Amino acid sequence: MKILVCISKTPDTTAKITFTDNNTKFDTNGVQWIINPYDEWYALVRAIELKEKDPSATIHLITVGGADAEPIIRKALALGGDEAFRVNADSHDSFYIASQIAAIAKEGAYDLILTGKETIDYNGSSIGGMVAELLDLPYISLASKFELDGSKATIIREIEGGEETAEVNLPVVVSAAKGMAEQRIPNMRGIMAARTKPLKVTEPIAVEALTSVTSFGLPPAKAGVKLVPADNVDELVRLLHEEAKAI
Amino acid sequence: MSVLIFVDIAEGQVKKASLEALSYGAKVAEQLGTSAEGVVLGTPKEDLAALGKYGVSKVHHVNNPALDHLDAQVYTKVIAQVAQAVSATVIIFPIIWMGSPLLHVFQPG
Repeated sequence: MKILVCISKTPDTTAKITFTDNNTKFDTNGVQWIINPYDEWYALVRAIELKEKDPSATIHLITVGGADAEPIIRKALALGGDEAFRVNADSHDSFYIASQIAAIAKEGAYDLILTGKETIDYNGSSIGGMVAELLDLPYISLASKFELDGSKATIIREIEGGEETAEVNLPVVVSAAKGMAEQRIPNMRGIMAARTKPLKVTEPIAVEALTSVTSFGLPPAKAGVKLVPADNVDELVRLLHEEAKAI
Repeated sequence: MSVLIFVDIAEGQVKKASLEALSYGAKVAEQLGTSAEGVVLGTPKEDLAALGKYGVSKVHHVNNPALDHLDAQVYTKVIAQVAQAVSATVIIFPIIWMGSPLLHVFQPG
């Protein structure tokens, strides 16, 4: 079985978010990068678990990014995975990125393509669906459980107010949500091994980006708490009505 | 030209997020000077004509029990067909559990 896991780098959750170029670009100065948690904890670790059950399985990783994405992909290789691809391109357009992944995936004829349900920076939730469509494969999103029996996968996915169980034959594209696996920390052996695992850098295929960001904005600062004296009910009602617009 | 809004139903009921999407789609259509139309897949238990009050002038209903459960590949093809039939220039999905897998699965062109 061949598994492809899509890996994205995202800013650490403690990173200070600022913008440059008239608020059109994310300022990456001094930002600490991590593997997108949904890609790491759920998609990659589940792939590793599947390989532990079936040692004949191979896990390939893919990221679309510049050379600055390499520490992230090496860290992912330290957790597990046999080899990695880096498509040498920097883009925030989902269709562009999905097209790059689909091009590599097509050549590799993978049985299972795993993504995180979203990245924690742009929260697009787009890549899995687009890759599936580009490869004309079934797509199951928001999977919280993934079990494999031969070539048939049983997947539990989150839906509003409950869960849904789906059965699908491989090959399939799956986006992984919380519950799929437990976070792991790379051990020393994995870190050492990752240094010599193949990391193939390929140039992107020619695809047009379909979206561009016109500007970013930070959420408004929280207003804090307003204290109203217990005997001033009129003021409380006025605030709830005029400011909070709750009544 | 039109704005097409995907209306998500669960167990026959139109989801609240879809009503928001309809109102939003109607406003977008107004800005573009075109019509807003909804698309419903599967077998709803509600009167779909009532969706008119959220600003859509038409609701396309693909009535097939096979569409009662989400299959992203099938849904995508059906919605794409409807989108082409009505020459939709904007397609709107509510962001909810069911909407998200469909949100981006369209191949442009």
